[in-house]
Amino acid sequence: MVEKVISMKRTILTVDDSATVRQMVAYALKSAGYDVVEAKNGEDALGRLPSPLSLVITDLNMPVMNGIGLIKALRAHPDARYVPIVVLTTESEAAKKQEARAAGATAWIVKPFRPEQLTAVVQKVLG
Amino acid sequence: MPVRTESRWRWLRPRAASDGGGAFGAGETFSEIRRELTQAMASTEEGFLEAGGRLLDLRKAIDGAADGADSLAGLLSEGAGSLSALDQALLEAAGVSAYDEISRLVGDLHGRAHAIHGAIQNIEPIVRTFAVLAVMTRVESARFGGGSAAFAGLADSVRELSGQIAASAGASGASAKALLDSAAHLARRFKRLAAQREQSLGPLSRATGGQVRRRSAEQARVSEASDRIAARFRDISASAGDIVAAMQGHDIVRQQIEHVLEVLEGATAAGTTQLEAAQLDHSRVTFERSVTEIRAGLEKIETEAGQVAEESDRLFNERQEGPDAGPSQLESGLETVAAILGEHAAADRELAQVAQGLLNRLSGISGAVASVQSIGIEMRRNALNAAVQVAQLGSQGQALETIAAAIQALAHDVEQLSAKLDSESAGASQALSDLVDRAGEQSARSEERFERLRDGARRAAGVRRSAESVHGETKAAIAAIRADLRETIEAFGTHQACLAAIRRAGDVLRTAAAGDTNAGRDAWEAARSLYTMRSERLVHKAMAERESGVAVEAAPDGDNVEFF
Amino acid sequence: MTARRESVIEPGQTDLSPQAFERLAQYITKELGIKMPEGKLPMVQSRLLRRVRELGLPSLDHYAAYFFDSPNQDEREHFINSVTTNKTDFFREPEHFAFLCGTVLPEFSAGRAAGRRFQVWSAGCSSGEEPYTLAMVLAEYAAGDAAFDFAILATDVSTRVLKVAHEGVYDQAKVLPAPLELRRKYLLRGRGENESLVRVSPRLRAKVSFHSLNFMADSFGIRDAFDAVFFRNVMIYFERSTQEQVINRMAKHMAPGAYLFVGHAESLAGLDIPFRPVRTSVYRKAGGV
Repeated sequence: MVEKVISMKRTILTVDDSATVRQMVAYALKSAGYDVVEAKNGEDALGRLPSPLSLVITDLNMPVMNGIGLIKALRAHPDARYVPIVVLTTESEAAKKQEARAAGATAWIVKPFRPEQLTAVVQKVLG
Repeated sequence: MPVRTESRWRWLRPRAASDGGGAFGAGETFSEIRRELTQAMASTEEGFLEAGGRLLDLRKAIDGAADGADSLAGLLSEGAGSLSALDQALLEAAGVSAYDEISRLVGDLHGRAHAIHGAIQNIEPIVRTFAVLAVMTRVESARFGGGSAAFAGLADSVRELSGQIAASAGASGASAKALLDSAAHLARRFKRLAAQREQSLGPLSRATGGQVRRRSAEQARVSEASDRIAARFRDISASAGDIVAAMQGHDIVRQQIEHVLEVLEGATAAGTTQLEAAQLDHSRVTFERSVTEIRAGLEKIETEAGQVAEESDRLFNERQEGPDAGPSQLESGLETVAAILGEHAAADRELAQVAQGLLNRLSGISGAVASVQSIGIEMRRNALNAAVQVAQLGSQGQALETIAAAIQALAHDVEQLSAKLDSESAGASQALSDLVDRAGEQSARSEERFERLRDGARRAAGVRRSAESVHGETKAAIAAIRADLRETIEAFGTHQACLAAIRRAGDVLRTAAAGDTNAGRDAWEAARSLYTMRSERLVHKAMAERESGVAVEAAPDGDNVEFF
Repeated sequence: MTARRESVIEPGQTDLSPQAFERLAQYITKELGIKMPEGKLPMVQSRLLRRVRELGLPSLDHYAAYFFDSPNQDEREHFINSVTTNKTDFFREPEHFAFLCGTVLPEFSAGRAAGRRFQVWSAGCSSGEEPYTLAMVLAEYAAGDAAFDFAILATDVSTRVLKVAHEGVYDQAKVLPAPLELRRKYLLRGRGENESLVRVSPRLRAKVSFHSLNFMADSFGIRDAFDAVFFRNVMIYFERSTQEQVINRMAKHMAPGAYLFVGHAESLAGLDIPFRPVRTSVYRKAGGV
């Protein structure tokens, strides 16, 4: 709500196999003043975890390592243990949500998102 | 992409679930559909990415234009301060009352110089009378012979005084003449300057002040309008949200197609070709809608950017055709006022210098005045001495009595003259030193105003130049944004090939479905596990209901956003 | 609409004059380090209006005059609360907890003296969300390191909020940012009419001790030397010179090499204090390792 003069940029990791979606996530978040690191899938994401990391936004259906796998890996990682994880996916089935929730996701957004919707979720989660 | 003939697709036929080879007997053809669809999605992603990249650039450019409009507004409202200072300076420049005092002093000085000159000229007849008296006194003293030493002294004294007064008159005469000439010159010069002030500087300053106020009002208007324009740019920038949402349509469709392909590949999927065709139809519609929405979004931005550009241009043109027509009129008016003020400052400075010079000259006259005064005193003493002698001589001294009276009268004249000279030169001295002060002050004031005007004019011109350049930059930025947008819109929407590929795949599936007799509840149920997206489930539900005639329960959906 | 009727504010008096806004904005920027462009005017207005009504003042401009002409610490606090959003959810600014558990705790474990507990101070704990978050994080760490033990001191100046904190009962919404797994482990769900509430488990509550403490007091009355202090979004209420005093006093109660966590919008830059920055909003006391 209130802008800070000494605004330390917070870094958000966005993981999606669709370059278009990554681009749009970056578009929305950079406009809202965040730094964004992009990764193509779970494994790629684990290989480029920024530090400090403020938040992860991940797709579910991805090759190599999917979103659920990534969430589990992050929850076991000391540096990412308490980092909020927002799932951004085309899926909307309750069973899938339950799976992500059990793995340790913080919030769930169904694509397509609007920029203000995404930033509202990010702001709410980051406090 | 190769054009396919009907014959190549004809042998497509559904197979029984027990065949175990998926919906198609010929894996070759399935793989062709797969390849074609995968390729179509990959090639369109490039287009989407490029449009997305363009969107990012646009966002930056539009934000930049908004910043430009913002800074223009800021620049102009800051400029308002220097314009009002300028207005004040002009108001002061137009005022001539400060010169009234100087004008009075110059007039006074001129009058006194005249009086001094006249008084010194009046010494001439006195000198002549002295000469006559000196002769008469000598003659009378000779007539009395050596009998009266006093007479001889009187004669000597009168002769001596006569010489002195002649010398004083000669010396101060030239000074008085010069004083009078200078004072007359000063008065003429000052009268000319006053007329110039009255006729040109006053009206010009007032007119220029009016222009300054108009410019100020106009800049306030442009500043406000620029604020509005900046806000509109930011709105445009924010309205990209629709495009961001539509862009994701690509990912959604890609996943839908992947799901269809997965079902097609799966062994259990036989008998569901109609469903797959429907899913592809849905994908095609979604894709087409995304493309349409992206185009519409971009076009909307283009239109709005165009409107803002027009508004901005109109604003600027009005400015140029407004009452403050030739943009340089104000600047040149200021320049002229400043120049006149500069001249006046110089004239005032010169006035002070001349007055100082005259003060020195006046001190020369003062010496003559003092000597005339002492001559007067000496003469009165002589007259007194003569009167005493006359009384002693009794009836013999009748002639002498006349001389004594003449000496007394002359002493009186000299005294009067010296008194007049004294008072006039004191007055002139006062007027001159006042003039030195006033003219000095006035010249300092004029100079300060001159500087203020020069500075104000420079700043006003600077603001105008900056405003013009910022406007130019903003205008160019908008033009660039629009050109980019048009290019993007043109480049985008050449997705017909992709749409055709999806349509063809759907048609093929539908043709296959016509011969598919194995459609059954089990197959539908099995397919359901792969159609996990909301839209897919809706298609699935609708198809299942049509197929079975009974309502099918869809899996519950949550909100679009959910916090765990 | 109802608010307008109840208010003593006349229509047309709801707008701050540009001069008054400018003055407030300058104060906010200079004193609180929060940027206040003109676009924020409506926000500042609507937020301050409530305070204006509470005070029974006739207009926002009167409030501005009141605020500047009778400066006192209390009104400063009201003012700051009016113009900032100070959220007190669990796991607020989660980067700090990642750093704590990824760096600070392993470091402590590696270098600790036998039997020494990890001591944390939640300074300015408000209604307890921060100390309980810390308790969860530390309890999780302890689960993987049998030799690790910890204690948390939570202080606030307000005994009213301390009472709430001590109870440990919260609305569901407040605990949402905490990972589900932790919520299941450490929170009890309310029943019946309390269904929308959760309570911190007794085991976790036992790890936190709450005390009233005023940062302005000359002595804090604390004997422990803390390994980490969470002092987040409190400094904003203090002026620069006070910040320096408070942090220097705080440093006396910290072990050499101890960590100080401040809010993301806060900075210690320019203060004369024995700390060096480690990363965004994390500082380390001189000495130690």
